[in-house]
Amino acid sequence: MNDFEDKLAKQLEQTLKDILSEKNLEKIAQDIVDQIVLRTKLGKGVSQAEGPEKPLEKLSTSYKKQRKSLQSKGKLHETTTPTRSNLTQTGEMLDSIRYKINGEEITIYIEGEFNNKKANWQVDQKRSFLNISSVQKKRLINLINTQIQAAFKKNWGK
Amino acid sequence: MAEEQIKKRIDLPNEWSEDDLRQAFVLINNIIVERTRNNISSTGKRFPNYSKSYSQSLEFELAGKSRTDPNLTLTGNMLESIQLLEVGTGYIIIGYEAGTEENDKAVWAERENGEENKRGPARKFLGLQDFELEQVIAEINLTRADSAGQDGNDINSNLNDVNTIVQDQFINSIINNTKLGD
Repeated sequence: MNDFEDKLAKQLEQTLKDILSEKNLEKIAQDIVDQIVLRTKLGKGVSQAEGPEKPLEKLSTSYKKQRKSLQSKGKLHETTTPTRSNLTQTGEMLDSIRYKINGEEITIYIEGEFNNKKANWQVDQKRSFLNISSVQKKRLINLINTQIQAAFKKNWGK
Repeated sequence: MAEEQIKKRIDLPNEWSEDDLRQAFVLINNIIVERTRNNISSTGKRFPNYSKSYSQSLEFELAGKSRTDPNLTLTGNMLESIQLLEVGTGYIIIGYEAGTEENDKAVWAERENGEENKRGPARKFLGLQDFELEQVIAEINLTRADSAGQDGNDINSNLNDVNTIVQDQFINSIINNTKLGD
Protein backbone atom coordinates (compact mmCIF):
# COMPACT_ATOMS: atom_id res chain seq x y z
CA MET A 1 0.00 0.00 0.00
CA ASN A 2 1.46 3.40 -0.95
CA ASP A 3 1.11 6.56 1.15
CA PHE A 4 -1.92 7.78 -0.76
CA GLU A 5 -3.77 4.46 -0.42
CA ASP A 6 -2.87 4.27 3.24
CA LYS A 7 -4.14 7.80 3.92
CA LEU A 8 -7.29 7.19 1.87
CA ALA A 9 -8.09 3.93 3.70
CA LYS A 10 -7.66 5.64 7.07
CA GLN A 11 -9.83 8.58 6.08
CA LEU A 12 -12.59 6.33 4.74
CA GLU A 13 -12.51 4.34 7.96
CA GLN A 14 -12.81 7.53 10.00
CA THR A 15 -15.63 8.73 7.71
CA LEU A 16 -17.58 5.53 8.31
CA LYS A 17 -17.00 5.87 12.07
CA ASP A 18 -18.44 9.41 11.95
CA ILE A 19 -21.49 8.31 9.96
CA LEU A 20 -22.18 5.32 12.19
CA SER A 21 -21.46 7.10 15.47
CA GLU A 22 -24.21 6.80 18.07
CA LYS A 23 -24.81 10.54 17.96
CA ASN A 24 -25.38 10.53 14.21
CA LEU A 25 -27.51 7.37 14.31
CA GLU A 26 -29.72 9.01 16.95
CA LYS A 27 -30.20 12.00 14.67
CA ILE A 28 -31.09 9.78 11.71
CA ALA A 29 -33.45 7.65 13.83
CA GLN A 30 -35.29 10.65 15.28
CA ASP A 31 -35.67 12.04 11.76
CA ILE A 32 -37.24 8.75 10.59
CA VAL A 33 -39.65 8.76 13.55
CA ASP A 34 -40.63 12.38 12.84
CA GLN A 35 -41.22 11.55 9.17
CA ILE A 36 -43.49 8.60 10.08
CA VAL A 37 -45.51 10.68 12.56
CA LEU A 38 -45.97 13.60 10.17
CA ARG A 39 -46.79 11.33 7.24
CA THR A 40 -49.44 9.53 9.30
CA LYS A 41 -50.92 12.75 10.64
CA LEU A 42 -51.19 13.93 7.05
CA GLY A 43 -53.27 10.80 6.38
CA LYS A 44 -50.81 8.54 4.59
CA GLY A 45 -49.61 5.02 5.26
CA VAL A 46 -47.24 2.50 3.72
CA SER A 47 -48.49 -1.06 3.32
CA GLN A 48 -45.09 -2.68 2.79
CA ALA A 49 -41.42 -1.80 3.28
CA GLU A 50 -40.11 0.40 0.45
CA GLY A 51 -43.66 0.77 -0.88
CA PRO A 52 -45.39 3.99 -1.92
CA GLU A 53 -47.06 6.34 0.56
CA LYS A 54 -50.81 6.09 0.03
CA PRO A 55 -53.89 7.60 1.72
CA LEU A 56 -54.95 5.59 4.75
CA GLU A 57 -58.13 3.55 4.53
CA LYS A 58 -61.17 5.78 5.17
CA LEU A 59 -63.02 5.78 8.49
CA SER A 60 -66.39 4.06 8.79
CA THR A 61 -69.51 6.23 8.96
CA SER A 62 -70.30 5.06 12.50
CA TYR A 63 -66.80 5.87 13.71
CA LYS A 64 -66.97 9.32 12.12
CA LYS A 65 -70.15 9.96 14.14
CA GLN A 66 -68.41 8.79 17.29
CA ARG A 67 -65.49 11.12 16.57
CA LYS A 68 -67.85 14.02 16.03
CA SER A 69 -69.31 13.38 19.44
CA LEU A 70 -65.83 13.20 20.96
CA GLN A 71 -64.92 16.47 19.30
CA SER A 72 -67.96 18.21 20.76
CA LYS A 73 -66.77 17.09 24.21
CA GLY A 74 -63.26 18.32 23.49
CA LYS A 75 -61.90 14.77 23.47
CA LEU A 76 -60.67 14.59 19.89
CA HIS A 77 -57.04 15.57 19.37
CA GLU A 78 -56.51 18.97 17.78
CA THR A 79 -54.44 17.51 14.93
CA THR A 80 -57.38 15.70 13.39
CA THR A 81 -61.05 16.11 12.45
CA PRO A 82 -63.98 13.68 12.78
CA THR A 83 -63.70 12.58 9.16
CA ARG A 84 -59.92 12.57 8.78
CA SER A 85 -58.26 9.16 8.71
CA ASN A 86 -54.87 9.83 10.29
CA LEU A 87 -54.67 7.32 13.15
CA THR A 88 -55.21 10.10 15.64
CA GLN A 89 -57.89 10.22 18.29
CA THR A 90 -55.97 11.00 21.46
CA GLY A 91 -52.60 11.16 19.69
CA GLU A 92 -51.07 8.64 22.12
CA MET A 93 -50.34 5.86 19.64
CA LEU A 94 -48.30 8.05 17.28
CA ASP A 95 -46.58 9.63 20.26
CA SER A 96 -45.43 6.17 21.32
CA ILE A 97 -43.25 5.56 18.24
CA ARG A 98 -39.68 5.13 19.44
CA TYR A 99 -36.27 4.13 18.17
CA LYS A 100 -33.48 2.08 19.65
CA ILE A 101 -29.91 1.77 18.55
CA ASN A 102 -27.95 -1.41 18.87
CA GLY A 103 -24.45 -1.09 17.46
CA GLU A 104 -24.95 0.09 13.87
CA GLU A 105 -28.58 -0.95 13.77
CA ILE A 106 -31.63 1.30 14.17
CA THR A 107 -34.98 -0.23 15.14
CA ILE A 108 -38.23 1.72 14.97
CA TYR A 109 -40.99 0.37 17.22
CA ILE A 110 -44.08 1.21 19.25
CA GLU A 111 -43.74 1.43 23.00
CA GLY A 112 -46.35 0.00 25.35
CA GLU A 113 -48.74 -2.92 25.21
CA PHE A 114 -51.90 -0.85 24.75
CA ASN A 115 -50.41 1.25 21.95
CA ASN A 116 -49.19 -1.92 20.23
CA LYS A 117 -52.69 -3.36 20.42
CA LYS A 118 -54.08 -0.23 18.81
CA ALA A 119 -51.38 -0.28 16.14
CA ASN A 120 -51.97 -3.96 15.36
CA TRP A 121 -55.68 -3.31 15.05
CA GLN A 122 -55.00 -0.49 12.57
CA VAL A 123 -52.74 -2.76 10.54
CA ASP A 124 -55.56 -5.33 10.45
CA GLN A 125 -57.79 -2.55 9.12
CA LYS A 126 -55.32 -2.04 6.23
CA ARG A 127 -53.80 1.05 7.82
CA SER A 128 -50.11 0.12 8.01
CA PHE A 129 -48.07 3.13 8.96
CA LEU A 130 -44.74 2.07 10.46
CA ASN A 131 -42.98 0.90 7.29
CA ILE A 132 -40.17 2.85 5.63
CA SER A 133 -41.47 4.05 2.26
CA SER A 134 -39.61 4.17 -1.04
CA VAL A 135 -39.35 7.93 -0.76
CA GLN A 136 -37.96 7.64 2.77
CA LYS A 137 -35.32 5.28 1.44
CA LYS A 138 -34.34 7.87 -1.18
CA ARG A 139 -34.15 10.49 1.53
CA LEU A 140 -31.91 8.26 3.62
CA ILE A 141 -29.62 7.55 0.68
CA ASN A 142 -29.30 11.27 -0.09
CA LEU A 143 -28.66 12.09 3.54
CA ILE A 144 -26.01 9.40 3.95
CA ASN A 145 -24.29 10.30 0.66
CA THR A 146 -24.12 13.94 1.73
CA GLN A 147 -22.88 13.03 5.20
CA ILE A 148 -20.19 10.73 3.80
CA GLN A 149 -18.91 13.46 1.51
CA ALA A 150 -18.95 16.09 4.26
CA ALA A 151 -17.26 13.81 6.82
CA PHE A 152 -14.60 12.82 4.32
CA LYS A 153 -13.93 16.43 3.40
CA LYS A 154 -13.58 17.32 7.08
CA ASN A 155 -11.11 14.48 7.71
CA TRP A 156 -9.11 14.48 4.46
CA GLY A 157 -7.17 17.70 5.07
CA LYS A 158 -6.05 16.65 8.57
CA MET B 1 -53.24 12.68 -13.57
CA ALA B 2 -49.51 11.97 -13.47
CA GLU B 3 -47.39 14.82 -14.76
CA GLU B 4 -44.57 14.48 -17.26
CA GLN B 5 -41.26 13.48 -15.68
CA ILE B 6 -39.25 16.49 -14.63
CA LYS B 7 -35.51 16.45 -15.31
CA LYS B 8 -32.66 18.88 -15.77
CA ARG B 9 -29.36 18.40 -17.57
CA ILE B 10 -26.29 19.85 -15.91
CA ASP B 11 -23.19 20.17 -18.06
CA LEU B 12 -19.89 19.35 -16.36
CA PRO B 13 -16.32 18.92 -17.59
CA ASN B 14 -15.91 16.23 -20.28
CA GLU B 15 -12.76 14.80 -18.70
CA TRP B 16 -14.48 13.85 -15.46
CA SER B 17 -14.99 10.16 -14.69
CA GLU B 18 -18.33 8.62 -13.82
CA ASP B 19 -17.26 8.60 -10.14
CA ASP B 20 -16.50 12.33 -10.32
CA LEU B 21 -19.91 12.98 -11.86
CA ARG B 22 -21.66 10.91 -9.17
CA GLN B 23 -19.92 12.84 -6.41
CA ALA B 24 -20.80 16.09 -8.21
CA PHE B 25 -24.44 15.06 -7.94
CA VAL B 26 -24.11 14.73 -4.17
CA LEU B 27 -22.79 18.30 -4.00
CA ILE B 28 -25.41 19.63 -6.41
CA ASN B 29 -28.23 17.96 -4.54
CA ASN B 30 -27.00 19.44 -1.30
CA ILE B 31 -26.79 22.94 -2.77
CA ILE B 32 -30.34 22.74 -4.16
CA VAL B 33 -31.79 21.43 -0.88
CA GLU B 34 -29.97 23.98 1.30
CA ARG B 35 -30.79 26.92 -0.95
CA THR B 36 -34.46 25.97 -1.23
CA ARG B 37 -34.75 25.51 2.52
CA ASN B 38 -33.51 29.09 2.77
CA ASN B 39 -36.38 30.29 0.53
CA ILE B 40 -34.17 31.02 -2.48
CA SER B 41 -35.04 29.92 -6.01
CA SER B 42 -32.71 28.52 -8.65
CA THR B 43 -32.53 32.00 -10.16
CA GLY B 44 -31.35 33.48 -6.86
CA LYS B 45 -34.60 35.27 -6.02
CA ARG B 46 -36.62 34.74 -2.86
CA PHE B 47 -39.69 32.54 -3.27
CA PRO B 48 -43.03 34.32 -2.96
CA ASN B 49 -44.82 33.68 0.34
CA TYR B 50 -47.45 30.93 0.52
CA SER B 51 -51.08 31.85 -0.11
CA LYS B 52 -53.40 32.68 2.76
CA SER B 53 -55.72 29.76 1.95
CA TYR B 54 -52.85 27.22 1.92
CA SER B 55 -51.49 28.62 5.16
CA GLN B 56 -54.87 28.04 6.82
CA SER B 57 -55.01 24.33 5.94
CA LEU B 58 -54.64 21.63 8.60
CA GLU B 59 -51.74 20.11 6.60
CA PHE B 60 -49.87 23.38 6.85
CA GLU B 61 -50.48 23.57 10.58
CA LEU B 62 -49.52 19.92 11.16
CA ALA B 63 -46.21 20.42 9.43
CA GLY B 64 -45.54 23.47 11.60
CA LYS B 65 -45.01 25.75 8.65
CA SER B 66 -45.06 29.50 8.32
CA ARG B 67 -46.61 31.48 5.46
CA THR B 68 -43.52 33.67 5.28
CA ASP B 69 -41.09 30.73 5.16
CA PRO B 70 -41.73 29.39 1.65
CA ASN B 71 -39.18 26.56 1.51
CA LEU B 72 -41.10 23.90 -0.48
CA THR B 73 -41.00 21.64 2.56
CA LEU B 74 -44.25 20.25 3.91
CA THR B 75 -43.04 16.72 4.57
CA GLY B 76 -39.62 17.24 2.96
CA ASN B 77 -40.25 14.36 0.58
CA MET B 78 -40.23 16.37 -2.63
CA LEU B 79 -37.10 18.34 -1.92
CA GLU B 80 -35.15 15.39 -0.62
CA SER B 81 -35.97 12.87 -3.31
CA ILE B 82 -34.12 14.46 -6.18
CA GLN B 83 -32.39 11.67 -8.04
CA LEU B 84 -29.48 11.18 -10.36
CA LEU B 85 -31.28 9.95 -13.45
CA GLU B 86 -28.45 9.72 -15.95
CA VAL B 87 -24.69 10.03 -16.11
CA GLY B 88 -23.06 10.70 -19.47
CA THR B 89 -19.79 12.08 -20.78
CA GLY B 90 -19.62 15.64 -19.48
CA TYR B 91 -23.10 15.82 -18.03
CA ILE B 92 -25.59 14.47 -15.52
CA ILE B 93 -29.36 14.55 -15.58
CA ILE B 94 -31.12 15.12 -12.28
CA GLY B 95 -34.82 14.98 -11.54
CA TYR B 96 -37.58 12.77 -10.23
CA GLU B 97 -38.84 9.26 -10.73
CA ALA B 98 -41.69 9.37 -13.24
CA GLY B 99 -45.19 8.82 -11.92
CA THR B 100 -44.40 9.67 -8.30
CA GLU B 101 -46.17 12.21 -6.13
CA GLU B 102 -42.85 13.99 -5.64
CA ASN B 103 -42.46 14.39 -9.41
CA ASP B 104 -45.93 15.91 -9.66
CA LYS B 105 -45.17 18.34 -6.85
CA ALA B 106 -41.90 19.35 -8.49
CA VAL B 107 -43.65 19.92 -11.83
CA TRP B 108 -46.09 22.19 -10.03
CA ALA B 109 -43.33 24.21 -8.39
CA GLU B 110 -41.33 24.42 -11.64
CA ARG B 111 -44.22 25.45 -13.90
CA GLU B 112 -44.17 28.64 -15.91
CA ASN B 113 -46.18 31.46 -14.34
CA GLY B 114 -49.54 31.88 -16.03
CA GLU B 115 -49.90 28.27 -17.22
CA GLU B 116 -53.50 27.32 -17.83
CA ASN B 117 -55.34 25.84 -14.83
CA LYS B 118 -52.32 26.42 -12.62
CA ARG B 119 -52.91 29.35 -10.32
CA GLY B 120 -50.42 30.83 -7.93
CA PRO B 121 -46.77 31.71 -8.44
CA ALA B 122 -44.15 29.21 -9.60
CA ARG B 123 -41.24 28.44 -7.28
CA LYS B 124 -38.39 27.15 -9.40
CA PHE B 125 -35.76 25.26 -7.45
CA LEU B 126 -34.33 22.48 -9.62
CA GLY B 127 -31.12 23.84 -11.10
CA LEU B 128 -27.96 25.74 -10.30
CA GLN B 129 -26.88 29.33 -10.60
CA ASP B 130 -23.58 29.92 -12.41
CA PHE B 131 -21.59 30.54 -9.25
CA GLU B 132 -22.99 27.37 -7.66
CA LEU B 133 -21.91 25.31 -10.66
CA GLU B 134 -18.44 26.86 -10.49
CA GLN B 135 -18.26 25.90 -6.80
CA VAL B 136 -19.12 22.26 -7.62
CA ILE B 137 -16.54 22.12 -10.41
CA ALA B 138 -13.86 23.61 -8.14
CA GLU B 139 -14.58 21.10 -5.34
CA ILE B 140 -14.51 18.05 -7.59
CA ASN B 141 -11.38 19.32 -9.31
CA LEU B 142 -9.70 19.52 -5.90
CA THR B 143 -10.36 15.84 -5.16
CA ARG B 144 -9.27 15.00 -8.72
CA ALA B 145 -6.02 16.88 -8.16
CA ASP B 146 -5.43 15.05 -4.87
CA SER B 147 -6.04 11.72 -6.63
CA ALA B 148 -3.90 12.44 -9.69
CA GLY B 149 -1.60 9.56 -10.67
CA GLN B 150 -3.26 7.00 -8.38
CA ASP B 151 -4.34 4.65 -11.17
CA GLY B 152 -8.04 4.70 -10.51
CA ASN B 153 -7.66 4.36 -6.76
CA ASP B 154 -9.07 7.85 -6.47
CA ILE B 155 -11.08 9.62 -3.80
CA ASN B 156 -14.38 9.90 -5.64
CA SER B 157 -14.37 6.25 -6.68
CA ASN B 158 -13.79 5.23 -3.05
CA LEU B 159 -16.49 7.57 -1.78
CA ASN B 160 -18.94 6.01 -4.22
CA ASP B 161 -17.95 2.56 -2.95
CA VAL B 162 -18.57 3.65 0.65
CA ASN B 163 -21.96 5.08 -0.37
CA THR B 164 -22.91 1.72 -1.88
CA ILE B 165 -21.73 -0.29 1.11
CA VAL B 166 -23.60 1.91 3.57
CA GLN B 167 -26.69 1.82 1.40
CA ASP B 168 -26.66 -1.97 1.08
CA GLN B 169 -25.96 -2.72 4.72
CA PHE B 170 -27.05 0.13 6.91
CA ILE B 171 -30.10 1.54 5.10
CA ASN B 172 -31.51 -1.87 4.27
CA SER B 173 -31.15 -2.92 7.89
CA ILE B 174 -33.22 0.10 9.01
CA ILE B 175 -35.88 -0.72 6.43
CA ASN B 176 -36.15 -4.24 7.83
CA ASN B 177 -36.18 -3.04 11.42
CA THR B 178 -39.49 -1.31 11.86
CA LYS B 179 -41.82 -3.41 13.92
CA LEU B 180 -44.73 -3.52 16.29
CA GLY B 181 -43.93 -4.52 19.83
CA ASP B 182 -41.26 -3.10 22.11
